[in-house]
Amino acid sequence: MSDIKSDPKSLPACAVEYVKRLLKKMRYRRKVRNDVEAELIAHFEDELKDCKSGQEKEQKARQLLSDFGDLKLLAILLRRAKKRCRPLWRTVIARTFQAIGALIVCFIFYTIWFSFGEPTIRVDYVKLLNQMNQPQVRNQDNAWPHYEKAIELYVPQSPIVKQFISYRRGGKPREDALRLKDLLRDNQQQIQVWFEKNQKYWDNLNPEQQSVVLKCFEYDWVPFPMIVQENNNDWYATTLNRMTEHILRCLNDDAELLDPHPRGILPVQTQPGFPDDELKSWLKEGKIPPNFIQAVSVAVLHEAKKRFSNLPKDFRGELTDIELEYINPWIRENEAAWQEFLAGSAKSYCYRPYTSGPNDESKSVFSILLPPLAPLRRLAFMVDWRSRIDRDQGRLQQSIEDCLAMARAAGHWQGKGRLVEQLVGLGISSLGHGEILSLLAYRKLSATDLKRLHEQMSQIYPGGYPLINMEGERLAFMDIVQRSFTDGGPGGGHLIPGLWEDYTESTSHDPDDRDKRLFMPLYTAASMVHARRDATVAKANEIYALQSQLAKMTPYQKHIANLKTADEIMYESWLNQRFFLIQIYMPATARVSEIAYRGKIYHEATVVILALQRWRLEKDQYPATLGELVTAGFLNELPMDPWSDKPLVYKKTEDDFTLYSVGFNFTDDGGEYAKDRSGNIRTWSDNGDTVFWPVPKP
Amino acid sequence: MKFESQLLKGVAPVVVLEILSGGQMYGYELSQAIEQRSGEILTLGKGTLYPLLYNLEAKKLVQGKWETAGTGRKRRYYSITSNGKDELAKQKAQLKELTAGLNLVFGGTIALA
Repeated sequence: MSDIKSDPKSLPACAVEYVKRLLKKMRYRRKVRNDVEAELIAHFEDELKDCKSGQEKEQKARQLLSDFGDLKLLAILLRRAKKRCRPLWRTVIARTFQAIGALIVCFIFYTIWFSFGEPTIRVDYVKLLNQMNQPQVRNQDNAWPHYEKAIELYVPQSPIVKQFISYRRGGKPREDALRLKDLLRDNQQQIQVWFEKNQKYWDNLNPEQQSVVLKCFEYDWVPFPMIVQENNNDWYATTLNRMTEHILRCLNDDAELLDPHPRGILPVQTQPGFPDDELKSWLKEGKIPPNFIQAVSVAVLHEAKKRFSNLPKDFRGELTDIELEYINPWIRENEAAWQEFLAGSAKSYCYRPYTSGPNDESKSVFSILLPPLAPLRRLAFMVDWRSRIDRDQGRLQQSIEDCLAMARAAGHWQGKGRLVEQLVGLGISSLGHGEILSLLAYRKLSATDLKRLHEQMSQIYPGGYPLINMEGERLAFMDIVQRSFTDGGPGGGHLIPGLWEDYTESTSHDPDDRDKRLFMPLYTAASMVHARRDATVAKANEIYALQSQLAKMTPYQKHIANLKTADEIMYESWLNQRFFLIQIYMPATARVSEIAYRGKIYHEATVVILALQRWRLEKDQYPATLGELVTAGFLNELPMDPWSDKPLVYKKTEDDFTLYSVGFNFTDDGGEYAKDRSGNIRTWSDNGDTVFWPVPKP
Repeated sequence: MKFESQLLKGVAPVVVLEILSGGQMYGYELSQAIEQRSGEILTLGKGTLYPLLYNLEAKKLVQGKWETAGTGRKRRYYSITSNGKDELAKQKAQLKELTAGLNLVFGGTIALA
């Protein structure tokens, strides 16, 4: 392409104006227009070169212009002709940009249409869920009013009770407590010397001051004043464990006892019942006793010795006197709650209609108020401790009643409703069964008690142990689809940006929320990628049906068939990202189903152990095989191990027996206890066997 | 003489190619040459000439390039390409056939050199 610059100065104004307008109307690339302009100007110059005067030039120019014809038509013809001249690659690029432009315009319209979709609510899934769960029996057989009352009456644990319970359970509190136990044992002599030297400072505190310090210990806090400047003094605190370790370290190093390191302290915080007002008044009135930290150290060491010296070795072992001293009052305070729980557990079913929250207008399954499951768990936990105390204090019939109440109450929440309710039921079931086995391991029950316990445990699940029921989750998902997709149109409807993410809890439900606005383009793009409504519903039904089918298969059946879980199927192909709504809401049923099978075999093993104990009392020895129990009517059928699809392994030993499942590794390890990485015995682990009997004792 | 535009449109490319087959020319020269060679019977409107040249260029029948004319000014000269020569020969043969046919119809009064 030449880059010719025209010089139209010598031409009449009408010609220049004509060319200018022509080029403007031509609407083409600047370089091409410059070329055409130069050529036309040259043509005018050649035509007008023989004109003598300006007037003649003007006249001839006008004639020429009429010869050129209609300006607009000429501009179009020139434009077309020049477009044909361009090389193929330019044409391709131009067409590509045109196509992209057209696509962008179409996409903008599509996005606008897509974003303004509205869902249509046709099905009341909450009602369906309620209909599904409501049994056709009398209202007075419903356990829920009793559980509701029990929740109301429940008295929470005090901080000190929580502490003692935490020392029993695994995790960091127990590890810390065990470490302190060893430290106290190893430093007995130094502690004794320290007491002799500093007891006088503690004795200097008046009874009211001593009581305030001891009250702080109940909250696991050790207070000490930090005097930094004259007007900037305050109380600080550290935990009893840290303070004990600090004192023992100073004793070991023969160092002066100073305030603990600032890293481990916190300002005293207001808690209900904590004596922070008294502490502040001491500071304000200058009543802090001399050598306060030494005085407190004496009390700390006494308290630590009391708490940790006789620390029980295992979770289910017998309660110590100090535990009974603190936990028993909490159990007695909950007598009324226990009575209601017991009454509820005796009912034949538990039905609580799902309702929406008072501020929830959507009435969706997702936002329905679930039963207060956490308080229910706390109640069951209280009953578990009650059972232990009854057991350790010799009230065996009471302890049996406690265990049975837990096992019966668990059944009320299993096999129906939302998954989270079923999991709470499984948890309570596990507590009850665990306590029954501890009772059998630590106490000798009479034949009558054994018979009662065995018969009642055998009747808890008349229709068989309930496995996981997925229908509640499927309905919840269908409700989400109903509320997140448009109704009708291509593919039955599309996912509406700005609606489905409300259910993920990743953003606020407030439509003006900044995060939500920020991520809206992303949500819109994601919604466009997502499969349409019909395909989503079909896929969800397929996945939930598969989950239900897999939930009925034993772990061994799944292991042998080497079946993929629904989760694996959903994530194996990137194409399934189109169904990310299902991926988000799909419960991890592989794990949940396994937990249900654990509960099932735990229950069946407990019933077998009870039958074996009864047999022993009657015949003074254990049977040679479990088959004898079935023949004699002690068992209806042999308990099948879901991890081997064979009967549980039973081995009669000299004066006892072993009963176990082959466990997670599907291998019979000869009844060796499963262990965790630290070597502690665990009921379930990926090594060894799950041994139900003998119950491991420290 | 004024011809029907469709009639002229059909022969204009052949006329331009025929004239350019004698040597390269720029737009003004070409329009002058057509008038002279046709005894002023054929006159291409200027509004037709340049679109026609660009179209022939797009079809690669002619080639345009800027050169300095004898007057010292820059002009865009058009020359016939080898494709253009082939096309001219084809068009001329067709016109010959057409003329022969028309002669038969009109009693031998139309002739093409």
